[in-house]
Amino acid sequence: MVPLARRYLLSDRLRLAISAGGVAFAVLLIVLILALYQGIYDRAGRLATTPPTQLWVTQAGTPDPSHGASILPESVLAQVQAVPGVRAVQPLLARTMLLGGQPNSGTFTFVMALPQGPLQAATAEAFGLRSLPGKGEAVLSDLVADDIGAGRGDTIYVGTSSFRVAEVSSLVDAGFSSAAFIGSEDAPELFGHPHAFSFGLVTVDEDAEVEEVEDAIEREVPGTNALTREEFADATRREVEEGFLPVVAVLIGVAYVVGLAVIALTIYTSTVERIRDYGVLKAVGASPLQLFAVVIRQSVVIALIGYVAGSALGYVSGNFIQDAVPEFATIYRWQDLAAVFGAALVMSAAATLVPIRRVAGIDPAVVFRA
Amino acid sequence: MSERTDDGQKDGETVLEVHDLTKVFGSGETAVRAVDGVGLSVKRGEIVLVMGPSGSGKTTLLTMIGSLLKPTTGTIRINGLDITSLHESELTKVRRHYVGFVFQSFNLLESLNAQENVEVALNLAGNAGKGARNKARQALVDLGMKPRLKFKPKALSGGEKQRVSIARAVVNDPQLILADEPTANLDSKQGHDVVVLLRDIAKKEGRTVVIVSHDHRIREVADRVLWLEDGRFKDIGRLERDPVCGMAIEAEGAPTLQYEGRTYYFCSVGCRGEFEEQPAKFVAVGTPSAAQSPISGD
Ligand SMILES: Nc1ncnc2c1ncn2[C@@H]1O[C@H](COP(=O)(O)OP(=O)(O)O)[C@@H](O)[C@H]1O
Ligand SMILES: [Mg+2]
Repeated sequence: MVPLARRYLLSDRLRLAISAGGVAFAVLLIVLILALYQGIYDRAGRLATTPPTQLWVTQAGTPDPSHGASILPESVLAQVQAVPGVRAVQPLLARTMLLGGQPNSGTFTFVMALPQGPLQAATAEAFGLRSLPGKGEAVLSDLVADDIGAGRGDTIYVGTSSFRVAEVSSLVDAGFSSAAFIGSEDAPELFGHPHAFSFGLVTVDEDAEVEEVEDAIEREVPGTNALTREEFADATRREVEEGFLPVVAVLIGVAYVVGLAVIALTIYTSTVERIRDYGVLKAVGASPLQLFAVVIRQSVVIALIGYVAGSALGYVSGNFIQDAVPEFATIYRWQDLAAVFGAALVMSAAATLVPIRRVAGIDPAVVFRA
Repeated sequence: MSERTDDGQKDGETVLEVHDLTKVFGSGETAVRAVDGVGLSVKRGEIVLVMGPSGSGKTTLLTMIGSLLKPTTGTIRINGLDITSLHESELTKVRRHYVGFVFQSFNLLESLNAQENVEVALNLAGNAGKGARNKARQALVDLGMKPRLKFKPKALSGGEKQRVSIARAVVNDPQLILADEPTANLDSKQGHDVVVLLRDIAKKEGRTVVIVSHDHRIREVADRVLWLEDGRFKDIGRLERDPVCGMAIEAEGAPTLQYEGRTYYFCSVGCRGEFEEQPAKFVAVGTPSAAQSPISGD
């Protein structure tokens, strides 16, 4: 077979570059946006799945660590402990607050404290905390320290309270914001609720069903909400979905339309420029389908080049962004890449709709007219 | 390439039969009867030349015979197949296997080289791969195009382009070849070569060739000359050759000029004007055939 589509594509390399570039640009943006979204989505659920426990107990109606401030009286600890199937319950104090080099400044940080409890050491380890901060001390995650430009030994402020940085380490991220720990003696005053805690981390007996214990806690300890790790993660992720997904959808839609417009215009102009060629082909025996195939092949090849270039560029630039801005995690899922591939093929097909109509309407008699 | 049969004419089978063919463009007051009740029958191996003034319907007739244009009324049979009653999908097959076209403006695909231009016609007819490539190559080699196989049309002379176009027209082995002014864009040497090729296609390969042209050299190889005027075949009047442009013209009503005791006929006053300025130039080149005996119509 004479590779007519390829000859047409290669006969105008600038146009090929522009059209494949248009698709690549759209694919790049879409892949990058999806990867960033997945990164945020993944991070949003990480706090919930970090502790080595099966259940979270929160104040009823505040199943989200980043935005709802859960406050439970200390007495709840004993009540939860008394629920059949509960082996141990560990309190965690936490609040999203401004942390910076100056009072009332800096970056929103998920500030936590781990009071004494049966799972204190195991929970600290799960968060990446090598030693618990003492009174007046704070341990910052790399991200926070980097963000506010603080190092070990520096003084930082949470709100207006000052702390000395005892350590900077790679703590597990907490939802949207990065994590920091302060000493548990300082927490009640800082958070403003003495004799209270934020979350209960519950391990269940080995022979107990997690869901049954979950129900039992909510039934027997009024004013609480018990969630499995996945449920707790989903609560935060839902917020990501609700907050980001519409924006993500609009951005992806715009990128898609831009890519489609570029490929559709180039396919259209190149087809119209060669309309006489298509007429000649028809006169020497091309069926409409054979003519369509020439147009569609060009479009599909452009889309494939654009897809490969765009997703490769998306991957490279995503990693570059992640290096430059550590808060941005990027996650490339094969499902996303496959979906973008499908979308690129649909784009290439859509781009041929109008040109194909032009080709279908050619009067082969024109070839006799000079 | 097809088998080179003997002279092809002896079996006398009819390849093309046109009956009462009419084409009307537009409707009402602006309607144009481009072809008006034309009948024609052409045998295997025969060369028919259709002449006539510009706008007389020659191209329209050829386009209909080639299945590229639907007639308003009438029938066209190629090898006994009535193509006027066919659907578009069947017409595609007619174009692939029954007719080959040679155009005035060559109509080669600029993005393909000479060989590919021929091969693509084979591909469309369902012939692909190495076989098609070799066949396309052979068709061009047969026409003396061996050194130009990989040349793009842009790099070919007019005569070479027309050879590629002829190779493309015959490569699917159609019985009928239709040529519209095949030599009009060529200089006289290249035009002569094309005339010889078309003659060989008819006489050596036994194809039927219908040519629309003003070229007097084609008159010399044609078995029959038909005169189309206002969409109808007319008895051919006395034909003369314009000494300036070489076109064959009907003597009656043509602009004339006496020079050195002879009457010269012109296709237009423009050509006559050119002649008047430098008669010696055209008379010197002009052949005695300018005064040859008239050819009668069918
Ligand atoms: N597609 C068309 N629409 C309308 N009129 C046409 C069309 N094609 C040809 N004609 C008219 O038909 C007549 C014959 O044209 P044509 O067959 O091209 O003549 P020739 O080839 O003898 O010069 C002319 O008057 C021309 O204007
Ligand atoms: Mg014409």
